[in-house]
Amino acid sequence: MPPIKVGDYLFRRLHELGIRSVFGVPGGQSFPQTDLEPHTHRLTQASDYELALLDLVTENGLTWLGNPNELVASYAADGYARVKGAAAYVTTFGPGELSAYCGMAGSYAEFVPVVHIVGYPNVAPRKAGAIMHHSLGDGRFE
Amino acid sequence: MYEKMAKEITCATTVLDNPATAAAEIDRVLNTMMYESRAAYIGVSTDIAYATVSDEQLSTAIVRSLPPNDVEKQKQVIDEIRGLMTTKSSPIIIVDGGAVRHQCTAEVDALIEATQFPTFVTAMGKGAANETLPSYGGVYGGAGTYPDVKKAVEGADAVFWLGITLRTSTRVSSPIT
Repeated sequence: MPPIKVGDYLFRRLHELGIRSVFGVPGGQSFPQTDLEPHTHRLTQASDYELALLDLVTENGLTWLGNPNELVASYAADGYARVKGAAAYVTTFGPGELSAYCGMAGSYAEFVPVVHIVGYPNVAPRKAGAIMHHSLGDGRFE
Repeated sequence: MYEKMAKEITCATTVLDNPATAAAEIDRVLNTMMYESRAAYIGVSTDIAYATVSDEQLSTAIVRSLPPNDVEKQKQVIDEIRGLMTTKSSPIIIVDGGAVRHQCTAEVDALIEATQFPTFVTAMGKGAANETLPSYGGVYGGAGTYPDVKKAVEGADAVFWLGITLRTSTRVSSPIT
């Protein structure tokens, strides 16, 4: 079977569940990093937590519906799932996702299937316990 | 520690850290989300999002229906419910939030049509029952209910409560025991 990106795999699964729009707010470190290859057209090696993942949304038959903030994204997704049967939204690690926890808890309490996708720091800095943007600087990522 | 916080308000979480297990982890979380019909959480870093995996697992669909009931137990429950339906003199149906969330409104309609029992909804079940039928009686919300509706509900000798979701937001008090 042909290889596909993990991000594509995830978004194809969402499509399979009847989801056609993905809500959310881009976020993370969006300024150039030393590990950003200058000629790459995607920020695949950048320290940003979410932008490269969001590039894959529209490549898998999904529409990106950006929201003014993460709480709005979580409730928009909750409403979408009540009508369509499932929903998804994407936020960034730390402050972005924390803003959405009220809506996430609402979906949990009210039995609404909504997946909150969070753009995380890369594996190596997580495993090294590095002091990453949006972390509390104590090396905890679990 | 954000994932730890999320664990308390989701039915399943994962933060992907290995492409070899990523597809299985995504499927585990999405299957649990659909089975429990609740919020879920998936952490994806850019390096993992762009790592490649086989798409073989995509041929196995996410499970969106519940496993079949235990046939014996189902028969027992159906017999008990049928017994109550035929022996009670003033049975009613209350349609609650679970019927909406678990997408049983077609079955709810069929049951109301078949039994012709007076039917009420809770605030969470509002919209799940056909309100144009003569058997439709209104919204039940415990002590906060319109008096005639309250009388009709609390005078019933059997309540078939579909998708029961007991909470104070839909029942001002708990008069039915």
